[in-house]
Amino acid sequence: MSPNADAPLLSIQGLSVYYAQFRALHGIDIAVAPGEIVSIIGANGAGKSSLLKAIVSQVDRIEGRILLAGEDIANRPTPAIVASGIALVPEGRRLFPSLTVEENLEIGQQIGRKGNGIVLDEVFDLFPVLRDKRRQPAWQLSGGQQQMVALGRALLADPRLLLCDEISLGLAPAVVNDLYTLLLSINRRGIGVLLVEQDIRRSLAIASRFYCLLEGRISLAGRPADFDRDTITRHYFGS
Amino acid sequence: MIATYLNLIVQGVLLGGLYAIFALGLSLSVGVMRFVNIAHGDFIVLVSFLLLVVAAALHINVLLALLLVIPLAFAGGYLLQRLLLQRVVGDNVLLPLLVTFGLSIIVQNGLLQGFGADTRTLSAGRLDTSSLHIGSLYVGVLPVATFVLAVVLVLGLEWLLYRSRIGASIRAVADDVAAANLIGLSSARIYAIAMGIVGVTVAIAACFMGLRMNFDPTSGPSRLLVAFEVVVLGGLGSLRGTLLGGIVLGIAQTLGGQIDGAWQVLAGHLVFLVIFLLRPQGLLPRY
Repeated sequence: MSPNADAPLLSIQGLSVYYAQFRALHGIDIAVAPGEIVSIIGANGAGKSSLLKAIVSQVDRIEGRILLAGEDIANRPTPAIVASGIALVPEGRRLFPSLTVEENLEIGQQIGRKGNGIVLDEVFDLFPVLRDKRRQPAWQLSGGQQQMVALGRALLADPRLLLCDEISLGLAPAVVNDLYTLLLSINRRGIGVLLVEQDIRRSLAIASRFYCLLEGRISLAGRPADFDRDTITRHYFGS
Repeated sequence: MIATYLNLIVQGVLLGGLYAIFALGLSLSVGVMRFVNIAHGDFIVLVSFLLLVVAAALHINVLLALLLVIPLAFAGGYLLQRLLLQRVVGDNVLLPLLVTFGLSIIVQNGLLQGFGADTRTLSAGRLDTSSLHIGSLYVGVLPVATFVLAVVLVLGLEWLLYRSRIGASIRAVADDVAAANLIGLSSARIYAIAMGIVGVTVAIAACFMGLRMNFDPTSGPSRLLVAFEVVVLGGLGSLRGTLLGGIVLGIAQTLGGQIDGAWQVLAGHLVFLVIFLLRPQGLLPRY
């Protein structure tokens, strides 16, 4: 199938994810338009991380289709998926501790799309604090700064779609505010964002649409403004 | 008396250079891929035979043959990792041991079948016997060249690992394989490149071992033992440590050999055991 300009950036159709005998997702449909921020919310174990891992082909087995700009990328090897324009900011950041900040960022360039996308200097413009720490080992940075490196690494892969897994986890509220502001400026570059969060309020504030997952199924979907807090909470916890 | 011992220590240091070259490949595979290649010594012997064949077939100097064999050794290491060893790297440390143990048996018996049990040696012409006269010291050109090469290799590999892009990828995978795979950095490809680099060091070791010492199809395990002691002495994952470990072992063996010929190898093992007891993390540990 050839890439289609009218197709959504990401279109997931009937996706089920299996770990051995366990089924983590049950035939879900999700779409992200080019340049859109879409939020995935849900409690622990709802299947949010499984969704992101399925998109980058890091789960045991899937059923269903995953289309990037109309092209089926399901079951391709992870490096091929990343090279076609999807970058993951993994839960817990997963930086390489013995590499310097700059080396961690350059890993992004190696795994990413080959073209004249974003360069190192632009990432340092987005995260000026990293410029001074570029020669330091990544483990010496604060949690928030490490999260910036993880974001920068994904950005340097020149993605069309950025997958963010719990980027606010374990960070101080002020730091999270900064990160979300940065996420908006990343999005303004035309990069679509699929945001997985447990923190409903913050992620719904910047998303144009959201999906709420409950026990591997979509329990609610739409625009954040269309639902009141109670409705969302009810579908979040399933009571 | 002092001149004798000075001479012995210099000879020991130079021998240590050769031992370090033996061990560099093992140091990389232990430090980066976190597995012990039991067939490391046999691979060195295998490539020594290959050099013998290439030099004889093309009627060229063995050093020229080495230049031809180096790309082959890279490809061999790359393919071996990609097609075989990659299947067994992971959480189970026993599997790579068993597979490389099997490879060791295959290589030894294959060589016996193909070349017989005769003892061989490589020759680089005049270089074999030339010597330098410095003060009261006589040193062979070949051992000096080997030592210089060992230093150059250590510095070159350090540059590759700590200054180059591919080196950063190799360290990233060594840091956290799962994270590398998760973000799309193919650990299988990086491991294969690292094993290709190991192959290059194996080829260089094969050449300079063959010029310096006799070898036969079953010499591999004793080479592995030397390489293993050197890596552990130096400290896992440290290339400079590997050079230092080689030097310590070389000096110990040379001094031991002076006491009694039979003590040469034993003295090396004893020094290894003593240092291992006092400093199990090695002389220059990285981890």
